Amino acid sequence: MKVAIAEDGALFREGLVLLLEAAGHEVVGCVGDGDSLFGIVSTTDVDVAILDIRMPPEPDGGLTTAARIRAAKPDVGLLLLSHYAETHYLMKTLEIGAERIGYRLKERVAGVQVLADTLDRIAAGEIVIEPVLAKRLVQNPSERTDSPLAKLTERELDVLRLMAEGRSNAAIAKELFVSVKVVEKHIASVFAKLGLPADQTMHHRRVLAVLTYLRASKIDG
Amino acid sequence: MPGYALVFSAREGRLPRLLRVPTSETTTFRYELERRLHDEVAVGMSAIAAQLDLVAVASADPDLDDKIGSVRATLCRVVEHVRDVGKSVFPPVLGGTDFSAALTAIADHRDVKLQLDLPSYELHAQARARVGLLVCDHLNTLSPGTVVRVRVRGRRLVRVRITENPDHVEHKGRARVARP
Repeated sequence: MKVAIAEDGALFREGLVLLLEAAGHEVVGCVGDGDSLFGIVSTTDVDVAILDIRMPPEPDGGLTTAARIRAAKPDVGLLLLSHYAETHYLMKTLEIGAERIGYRLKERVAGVQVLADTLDRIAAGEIVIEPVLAKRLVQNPSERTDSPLAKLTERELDVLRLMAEGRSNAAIAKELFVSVKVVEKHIASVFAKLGLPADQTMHHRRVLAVLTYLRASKIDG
Repeated sequence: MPGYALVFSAREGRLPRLLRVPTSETTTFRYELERRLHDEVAVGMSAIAAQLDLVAVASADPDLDDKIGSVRATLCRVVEHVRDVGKSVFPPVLGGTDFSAALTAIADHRDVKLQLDLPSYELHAQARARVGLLVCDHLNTLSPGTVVRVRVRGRRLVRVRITENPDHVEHKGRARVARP
């Protein structure tokens, strides 16, 4: 996979290059700001671009650059990195695109295996959401018993959390050691209990529906 | 001209409590402090996490792998603490232009239910930062699940009114922030 990086922290940028090379990927560009990355992506063949959210141009150069890249080169996958697990950044990321895009924490993705897995999923067209953030979204706010989330069983909450991470049915089944059929049954139950539209055949539409619902439930209670 | 700000808050049956909105200088200091925590501490620790993983990958010793895995997990927890401190010093979302989304995100972290009533016009960056810090500092004192209404009005002088649990009128606040 051909990868381009924009990260203004030199030490972390060098670490990313080493991790990518260890994972067998080719780093075709490595810069410290969004404008330089856009120049690389415009002129070079890139499969996935990795962007720090907080980099020049300030304040959130990663987000503005990702939007420019998606508009100019929609086939390029985008992985946005941050030190903050913010639903604010998540929603901004999803406004840029709902396919071939990811948002992860820097320290969590700083490993060969997890970085390779994240890039593979993005290149395959998936949305990849930081598990820490997905977990927080799924947590029942203030343990409220009147929250629709309180109606879900523990296993259904696990399925919801993995859906919010952008996992496919097969990946959820593998994670929970159950069959895909069982996962489908849990998903149907979750959607019914939360009042979400049942027809979510497109994977990215399902992830968006789940994240939008969870985000709204956090705000409105 | 340096701005000044006052917050009057009162509980039922008590005299108003005086709180202060951060000055422009304090706001700048807190912003720079958070940037240093982010750029120098957190990013540096993430780089160390990456280096540790590379050592583990290069090693053929499963025991060493386990030890490195344990150290990386500890490192991630420490980064989490640094992140929490950074967010309290200056929430990074306040640096953006979407003030409503920023305040909502701050409330989100505290598990506080926020009802926002913002002006239709955009506040200038300094006012956004100062009012944002005022609201953030106040939300940090509240229990999870609290419902808070924040009303912001004014152009030259920005007035902020914070009401806790509006249905029960348990707590009210009002602030005035002079434009710098």
